[in-house]
Amino acid sequence: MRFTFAVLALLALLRSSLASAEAAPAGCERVVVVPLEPSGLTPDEALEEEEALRALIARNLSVCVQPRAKAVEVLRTFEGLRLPVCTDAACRKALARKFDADWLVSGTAYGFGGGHTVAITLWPADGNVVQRGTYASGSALDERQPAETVIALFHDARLGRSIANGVEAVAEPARPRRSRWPEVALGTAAVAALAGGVAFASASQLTAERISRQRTGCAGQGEAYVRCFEDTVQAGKNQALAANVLFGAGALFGAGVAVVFMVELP
Amino acid sequence: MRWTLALLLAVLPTAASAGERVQYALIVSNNRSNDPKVPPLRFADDDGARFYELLEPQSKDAALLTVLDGDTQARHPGLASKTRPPTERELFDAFERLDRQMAADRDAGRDPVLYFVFTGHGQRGEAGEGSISLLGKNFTRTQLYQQVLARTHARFVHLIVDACDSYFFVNSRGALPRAESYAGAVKRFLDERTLEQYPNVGVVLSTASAQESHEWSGIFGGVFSHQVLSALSGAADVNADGRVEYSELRAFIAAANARVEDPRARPEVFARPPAQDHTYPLVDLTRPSRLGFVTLPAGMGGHFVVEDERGVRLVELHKEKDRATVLALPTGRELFLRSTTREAAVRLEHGTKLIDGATLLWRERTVASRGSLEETFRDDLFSIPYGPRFYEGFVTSTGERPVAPAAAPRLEP
Repeated sequence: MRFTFAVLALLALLRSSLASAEAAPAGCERVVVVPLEPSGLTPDEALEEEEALRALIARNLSVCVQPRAKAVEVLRTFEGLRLPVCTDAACRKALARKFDADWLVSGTAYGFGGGHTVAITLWPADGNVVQRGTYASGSALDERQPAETVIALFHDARLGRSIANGVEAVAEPARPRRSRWPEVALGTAAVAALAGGVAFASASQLTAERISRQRTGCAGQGEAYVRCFEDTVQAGKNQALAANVLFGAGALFGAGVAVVFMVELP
Repeated sequence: MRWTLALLLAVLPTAASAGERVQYALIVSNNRSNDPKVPPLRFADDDGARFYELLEPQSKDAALLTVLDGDTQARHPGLASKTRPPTERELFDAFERLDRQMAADRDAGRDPVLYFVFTGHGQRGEAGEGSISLLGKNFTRTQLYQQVLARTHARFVHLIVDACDSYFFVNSRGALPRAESYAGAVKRFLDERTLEQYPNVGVVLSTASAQESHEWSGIFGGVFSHQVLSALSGAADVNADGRVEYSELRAFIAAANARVEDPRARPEVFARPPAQDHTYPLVDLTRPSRLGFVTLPAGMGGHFVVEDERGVRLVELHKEKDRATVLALPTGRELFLRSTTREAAVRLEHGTKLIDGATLLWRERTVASRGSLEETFRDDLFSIPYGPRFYEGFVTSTGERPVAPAAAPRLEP
């Protein structure tokens, strides 16, 4: 039962994941990169890292990176010209909405130990998941590493969002508007077969009693009587056979109902 | 075009090296006093080891003059082979070696910076002249000025002295000082009027009055040195520029001790930046070094401790939640970041990028407790948050010139 539930939950997740992938816009999602905070760097150096990050996202992901001016305009409305610290989904969602973003990217550009490191935080419009990552930057370094980090972050965030949404779908109590005709048909057939089986079994029982009490209703003597008696016995056998077949069919239909019921169990 | 290129090639090497900060560290620590009546310290050698482990990776050359005891050698494996005994001769030899390199740096247009750190016993001589205990002989204020500060080629010198007043310790153990304040005694070692003749020298001094307040077994070290080391590791960097200035150090130590009411447990600091440049940083963590870096990002607030796998407490801070703090930590060993309720393990390797503390795997932890004065240390030290808000209040109350405000992102579209 638990295994079945797990399988069913997994199926639901996959279905949800596929649904969200299908729901991804044919055009693109809006990604807003909030100006990076400098730490151990000058504002100009941080700006360079920020522009590089924006270019990196645009180059490697099928999204629409929004112009910096848009992010700056919103950032200016915050106290201290800094993004507030969010610790819950509602806050993140409100921020994403304020920036009119499908994905909000914020972070800090660090300059410590002679190198530059960019730490970014990423969340989708609903704020349900947060991904954090860092990458070292600089011309002497392998340029693939920042790209791989950013791609992985978006991938993980999308997966996380799908899982979060999928779990919600599984947890929903209401089931979809699926037709119940298979259970109804199978159940009806099972009941009918079992009822028929009972009827034929009763008839067979009556026939057996009539024969044992010599009340077969056969008149005459000799060959005619023997033929009548054998016909009665045969009729009893046929009734018993029909009863057994119908009982078997009823059992099969009943099992079918049980299987369908299990499969469709939420 | 060819002329321009030639000119550029001629100018570039000079331009690249002009003003470049090059650091050297001369660290002297000695558990023993030359006065046989004065019992030895337990952790002065540990403090020296920790200063060395923080400053050496940032330095072109560094010397550690100490004799590590058995416990300290176990806590800092491999370090003993790099030490020399803290004798006067070794001190001058080490100074000569570093100073030759600093002279070459000056010739090359670089700015050499010397850390001169002492942890151990300090005392007054019969003539009232302060001195610190080397092995077998005291090192006097006159020697410091005439044979080190007057001769050095360092562009700036940061003088850090954590020397408990054994005089008071012997005469009134654990009691409040009844004679001259220790601060006065330590300052006399330096003689502030003489110090003014050396505008390139900044000083950071402990002015604690008793050994009991000086050392704490919970951190295997002196409380003052622990706080200075924490500050220099980046915990005091209030404006996130990667540099720790003197006012930041003072504010950090004031915050760390703000709730300590027991005078025995309250380390006092005397810190004065170089008169030449009050904003010259004690430490600049943005420079190339062999240290690793962990950031505690905005959103993570509270009391944090970083310990290594042998229980050596490297950094301690109480962080305001609003801003990120970057900590410089040693590489190549297992480290544990601990808050009051959670802990995370991290290992930094040389050349690794900065690690975001929020991405570490944090798990619940339990807290052990100790005795009375230790409870004071444990409960009261670092009990209020340090950050921009505390710093602003501190410099306002002291009238000091604050550091530059934290850099904000450029907001020109």
